[in-house]
Amino acid sequence: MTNAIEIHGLVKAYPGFTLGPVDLTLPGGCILGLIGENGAGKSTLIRLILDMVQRDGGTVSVLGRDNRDRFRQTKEDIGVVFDETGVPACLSARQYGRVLQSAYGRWSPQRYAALLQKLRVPQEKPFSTLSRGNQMKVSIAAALAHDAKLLLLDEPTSGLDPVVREEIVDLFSEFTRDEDHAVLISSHIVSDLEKICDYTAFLHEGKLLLCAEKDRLLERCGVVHGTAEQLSGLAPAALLGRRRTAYGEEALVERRRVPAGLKITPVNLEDIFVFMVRDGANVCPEEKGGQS
Amino acid sequence: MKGLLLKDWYMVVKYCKAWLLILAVMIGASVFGTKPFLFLLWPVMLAGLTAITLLAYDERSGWTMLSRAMPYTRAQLVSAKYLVVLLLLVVAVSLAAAAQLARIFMGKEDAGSFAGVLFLLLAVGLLVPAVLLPLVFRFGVEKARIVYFVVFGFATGCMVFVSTTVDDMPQLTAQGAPAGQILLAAAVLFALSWLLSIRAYRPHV
Amino acid sequence: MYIWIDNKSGAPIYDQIYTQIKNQIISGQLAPDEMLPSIRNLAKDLRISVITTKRAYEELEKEGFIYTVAAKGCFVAPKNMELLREEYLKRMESHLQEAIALAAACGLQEKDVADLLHTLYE
Repeated sequence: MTNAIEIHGLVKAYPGFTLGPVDLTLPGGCILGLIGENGAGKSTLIRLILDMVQRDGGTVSVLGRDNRDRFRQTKEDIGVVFDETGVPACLSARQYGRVLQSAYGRWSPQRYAALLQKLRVPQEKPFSTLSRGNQMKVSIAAALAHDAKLLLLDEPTSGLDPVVREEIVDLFSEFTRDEDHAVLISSHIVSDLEKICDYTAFLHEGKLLLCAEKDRLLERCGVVHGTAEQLSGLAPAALLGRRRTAYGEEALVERRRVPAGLKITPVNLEDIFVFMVRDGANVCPEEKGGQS
Repeated sequence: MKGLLLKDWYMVVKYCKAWLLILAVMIGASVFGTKPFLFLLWPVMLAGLTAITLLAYDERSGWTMLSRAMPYTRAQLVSAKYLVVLLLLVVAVSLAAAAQLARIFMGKEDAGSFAGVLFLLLAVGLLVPAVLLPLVFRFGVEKARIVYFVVFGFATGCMVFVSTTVDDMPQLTAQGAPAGQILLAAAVLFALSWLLSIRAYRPHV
Repeated sequence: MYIWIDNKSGAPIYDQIYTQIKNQIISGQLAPDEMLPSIRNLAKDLRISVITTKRAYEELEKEGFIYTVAAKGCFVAPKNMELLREEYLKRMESHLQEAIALAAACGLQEKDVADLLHTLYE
């Protein structure tokens, strides 16, 4: 199966900020969650994938083809949702559908209307009068209505309440029931991505800190609480990162290198991300064939 | 490109009602007023500027960015706006033609100047966007706004100057030939501007 | 089939799936040659990663509890008495280890534990 996205050595330089070099692969049929704080370069990365911004170096291939080679055809297979939805303010959802019908070869008006109905979005009201949640739903319905193979989503859940976020994340999960469908979601709301991602990538200040299988990463790592002496007693190979708390210290550890009997708290992606970004933890992607 | 035109149509209907109002008022005024050319010039110039207004709305809503992720070519994205300009000009000039015919019928104008007036109107209508649109497509609405105001101010100034000093509009417009040449030049510039915009288009992300 | 994933327990998710399916096969809740949900569908229904369900199924297949038919899916392997015995022995061993540890904790000897075992069998 071809990889949905393959990025090698991608670089983009702006005055004061450089993105890359980035190496990233999204295998077909998978969901990749791109996590990073605001300004980390997530949106830039997505725009580079879509060739909306000229890259300074490296290669990007989407759905098996370089993104400069007949990319217009490839775009038929890509569904995009941006934080700034891009739907003209005065158009209703239905009118928007009519506009997009002639943009995409495989647009299905029935599919679009069915999605809007399922998501309970008013179809006749002008876009600017819809709530943020409904606006995102329209955007997503549009991305799903033309039989796309790849979804690129830039902060699709920001500004939404928990119930709507759950509804939307469900949609993406359903999308990948088909093994030909892949999704790349960028977000700074880590909990949304936590459950459904197959792979997770951390982006910080333009650098890709990590790209790994999400479940393996969470299995490998844990948090240990203790006094400074207790933590200093751990093998250096076990200690991935360390920080002071009000009443002691806590450390991000590699579970299998920690002596049995020590209490290890399960960790989530946000914990790992903060440890890496704020406390300088060093977590390498596990080698294939490593102990599970 | 059908979708792009449809979208612009929806937007014109929503946002450009003011233009239609101005057009109606100016047409009316031109039939009964003394300086018909001046009145007719306004809505014609605005037709070109309407395209820029639409581009401003596009940028603000994020459509400019989104459309670049869709399977449209630069040529299609640019051409839609140029076509909108042409359509609006057709409307404006047709109504101006009707107004002129009314004036001729009422004896206020002689028939010889009919073609000349229309040619000049169309020429101005083509020149304004021909100059402005490539700038907007290359630099974005915000940056081009300064040039927009300069051109607008300059053009208005010219109009005022012309209308106060040259009382004899018919003289200028009576000779269909110079007016026809001006229109031809304007049309060529418009076409060149169209091609230039396609080459220069930088969506502002 | 019944599966419940405990996100907070710290036990690897693939292991939880593996264990729960295995137990249901052993106990007979899942009949031999019964078809299991596809790797993808299971992942989507449980809201977890496809990679993880794949790992669980691979482990089950390696241990002989399920088998795959290409282009059809995964099925419960017929009850293999060897496998079952091995599995039960493992469990007995761990239970007995516990008993031995408890005995040691209150000073009882091997003989005391053996006596208790005899008594239970009668």
